[in-house]
Amino acid sequence: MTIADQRTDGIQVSTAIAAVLIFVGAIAVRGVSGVGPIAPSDRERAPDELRAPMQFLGPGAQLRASELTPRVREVLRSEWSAVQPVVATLTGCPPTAEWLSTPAGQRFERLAAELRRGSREEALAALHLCFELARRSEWHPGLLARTQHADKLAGLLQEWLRAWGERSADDTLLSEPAVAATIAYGALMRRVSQPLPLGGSDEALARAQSFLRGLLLDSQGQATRLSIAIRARHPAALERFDAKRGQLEGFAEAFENSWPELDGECGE
Amino acid sequence: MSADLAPRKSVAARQIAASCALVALGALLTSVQLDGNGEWVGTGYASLGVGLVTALLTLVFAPRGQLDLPRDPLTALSAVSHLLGLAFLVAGVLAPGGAWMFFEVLLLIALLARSGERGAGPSRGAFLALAAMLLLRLWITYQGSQHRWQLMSVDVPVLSSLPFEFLAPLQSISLGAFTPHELGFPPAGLEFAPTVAVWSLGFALLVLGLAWRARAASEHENDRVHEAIWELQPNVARLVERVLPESEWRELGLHALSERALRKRIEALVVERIAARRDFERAVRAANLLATTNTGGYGGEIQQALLERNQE
Repeated sequence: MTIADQRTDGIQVSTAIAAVLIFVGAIAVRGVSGVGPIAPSDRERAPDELRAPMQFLGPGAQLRASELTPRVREVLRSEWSAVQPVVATLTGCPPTAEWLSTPAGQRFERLAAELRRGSREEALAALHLCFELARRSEWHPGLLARTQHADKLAGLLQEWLRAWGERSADDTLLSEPAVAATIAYGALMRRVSQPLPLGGSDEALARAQSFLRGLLLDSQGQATRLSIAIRARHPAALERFDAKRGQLEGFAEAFENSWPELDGECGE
Repeated sequence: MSADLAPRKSVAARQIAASCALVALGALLTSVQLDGNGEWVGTGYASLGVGLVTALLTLVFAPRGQLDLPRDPLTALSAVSHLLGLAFLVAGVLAPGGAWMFFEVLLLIALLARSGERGAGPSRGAFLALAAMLLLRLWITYQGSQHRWQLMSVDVPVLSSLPFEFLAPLQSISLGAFTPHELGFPPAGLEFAPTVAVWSLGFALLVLGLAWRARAASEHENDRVHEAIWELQPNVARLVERVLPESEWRELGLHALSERALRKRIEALVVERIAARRDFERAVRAANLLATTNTGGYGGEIQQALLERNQE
């Protein structure tokens, strides 16, 4: 047998052994079972990271607002310290769009925009401000179908989601707040698109659908991480999103169940 | 045996080994899926079990003479690769469960057993059926990835256009409903695009590997027959190969025989064919073929007289 023949036989034997090993691997790998979804909030956090970030969006958010102060950039800290208490102590339930056009409201909008451009903690602070405004201002359309207030508030959430929605889905600090912001946005736009039982604004619905599709579906039409997180937290929210009617109903129901005090009438 | 035959045999053997590796790689790719946590997990043993039973039944219903009987480690690997390759191929395309799956199994057994009769691996029709089943599975998986747990939804005319919420259950009809559990999705969900790419690649490798293996195994068997014939004197071997052309070896049942049975079969075939040829030549010689062209009458009588003169 020549050296070339020996080499040929060696290759043949090696290939045959490789085939056997791959078959064994193929059979073994079939039995590998996966684990359940691991929520970003369940992952290991940095020691100094803020705990329970959803409390910054809840009814008792003002109790923890001071924890955000040292995490805001120094150039914004004084502005934050001035604006946050104003929103947290807003009284009289002013209509949202009208209050935002006041000097205090304009200051609020400028601060929220600056915070959105900052760190993760500042993004949480911006969302905290939006939820505080939603809690203390009037955005319910009412019988006169005044949708501009809910539309303005939804616009603030949309800007936040545009900046942070996609990247916060895997963030230990912002994943849950991002889910909350998306649900709130969908619920608000449901108010805007259908303020009364009959009729409604197709333009507002199309706008909301377009934005939410970009947020919840990737370029191949598959669910994004944020969409998966929403489905895990609020399974019914996306059930009707692709239906012919009531696309935002699931968001509205999830929002009402999770934040009953955010009724657009300051809980009155 | 002439010296130039050794490398030829080696090529066929190497091709069997390589095709088996290709089949194994395809099997591996159809056995994994990427879950929502970004980890590769298995597709489970249930469908592989059904695939294995289907492959076994296919072999049982195939004609006995066409089965590749292993005679050495390489042919053993070839036979096992054929069986496992079919099992993984079927497991990779089956509908997740329910009545469809069993209908598919019956169809596949019929198609694969029929194609096995020709002894050249699964036929084109069987591969087309497998590809159609793969598409159905990919479609169902896509629907599941979109959280639509049905094959399709058909709108009911008129009713679906009415803007009343209470009519929602009546406005469309779900066809082929299934559950995430039936689909065998991992607990963390399925990453559709990479999983489908891997499954499709695995399917392609399995189909190519099985077809290649069938060709290589046939070539390997032809080498054995060739080797047995060339144990004779070269002149005799050449004559035998003229009597028994290589293109007919599989149909003549020379493949998959033991060494002794192969030689006895060659011997019997040569005796039978030479006897048949001799009988034919004798019959041709005895037959008065020109008589069939005789139209009778004036010209025919003259032709017959000349013919009889020649025969004298």
